[in-house]
Amino acid sequence: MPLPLSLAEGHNVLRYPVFSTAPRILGRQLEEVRLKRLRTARAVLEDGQCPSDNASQGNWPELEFGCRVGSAVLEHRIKSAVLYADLKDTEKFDRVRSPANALPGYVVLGEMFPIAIAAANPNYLAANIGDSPAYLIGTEGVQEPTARQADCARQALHLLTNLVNPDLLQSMGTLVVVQERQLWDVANSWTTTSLKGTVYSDWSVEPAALGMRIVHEAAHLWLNDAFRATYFPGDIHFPSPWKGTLRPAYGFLHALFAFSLISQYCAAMLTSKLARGTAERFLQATLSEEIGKIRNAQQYAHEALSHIDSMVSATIAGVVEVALAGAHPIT
Amino acid sequence: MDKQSQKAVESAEEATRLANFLKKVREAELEAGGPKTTAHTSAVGVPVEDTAKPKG
Repeated sequence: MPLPLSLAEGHNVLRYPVFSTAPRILGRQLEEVRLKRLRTARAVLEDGQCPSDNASQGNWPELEFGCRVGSAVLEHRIKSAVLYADLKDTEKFDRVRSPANALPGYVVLGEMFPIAIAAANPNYLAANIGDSPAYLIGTEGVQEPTARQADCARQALHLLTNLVNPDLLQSMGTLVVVQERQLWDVANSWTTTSLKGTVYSDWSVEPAALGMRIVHEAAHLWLNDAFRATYFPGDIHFPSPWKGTLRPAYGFLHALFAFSLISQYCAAMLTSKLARGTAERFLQATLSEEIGKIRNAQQYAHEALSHIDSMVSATIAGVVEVALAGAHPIT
Repeated sequence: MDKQSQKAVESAEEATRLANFLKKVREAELEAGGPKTTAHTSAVGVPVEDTAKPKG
């Protein structure tokens, strides 16, 4: 059932938000995955016998901010504690584990859709977790976002509140903005399953572009949770038009899903006239480029989807179908 | 127990505390299946690379 959607007066009204095809039954399984993640993170932090912990009383301030934000920040605190434990810095180790420092003062909360917003410290060389750089909340690697960064993030989240089925964003609790880029320049965004609720993204002055990257990375977080709730695809490979190489089904389906949602987002932005001028041209060019690659990938999609859970498969197939159909009819 | 011995005991206790924490974290990571990264490097109109390693 498509969700109702309203936009400010003067904008066209969309019949369906981005990701309108999410099945509710899978949503309940995803909630269980997220709750288990939160409980595991709490158990890990509670076990260190930190004298300043108040865990036995169940006093965990991060829970006041809800499961999404609290869980994401908890994972940052765990990774920060690991960093300091490796360095044998017990003072910082205890500090990041203390509930009193659960949500550092420099974190800004998005208003329309609460997400912890922080900024990477440009003077800090990030630690690597797996094969990705990690700027960790609770360490010198993350700092308060500037007014421009926070404003851009808030505007991007506001756009998403109007355009995107909130189910897509339920796996995301933290946004760490990294480097400022020009709109048409090469930019990076990434997620890691080591920080399951965090999106890292470069940003520009154009909130529409940051919104697009959030949609892309939130799609990865959602799909990781969906695979966790069901099972990962097997070790079978497919040609990826995005990478230009054979990729495991896991990566192939991630790309197909995330770029299809980007296309839906671009189409929704263009249809609703929320983007003008340069931003409109940027989204149009992105949409044109991605739709071509999705069509290219489509010939392998059916087989790739046959290797995963049927509900997840139906969700991805639905997202691809809507993206290719031009996504969003106007009422 | 003299001060030096007491300091050595405290130091050993601290090391154990940190080691126990690291062990717990690694157990949780193993149960979760190890880290996977999804990275996206792009610019409109130039080659797009998904799952590239982002620069820290």
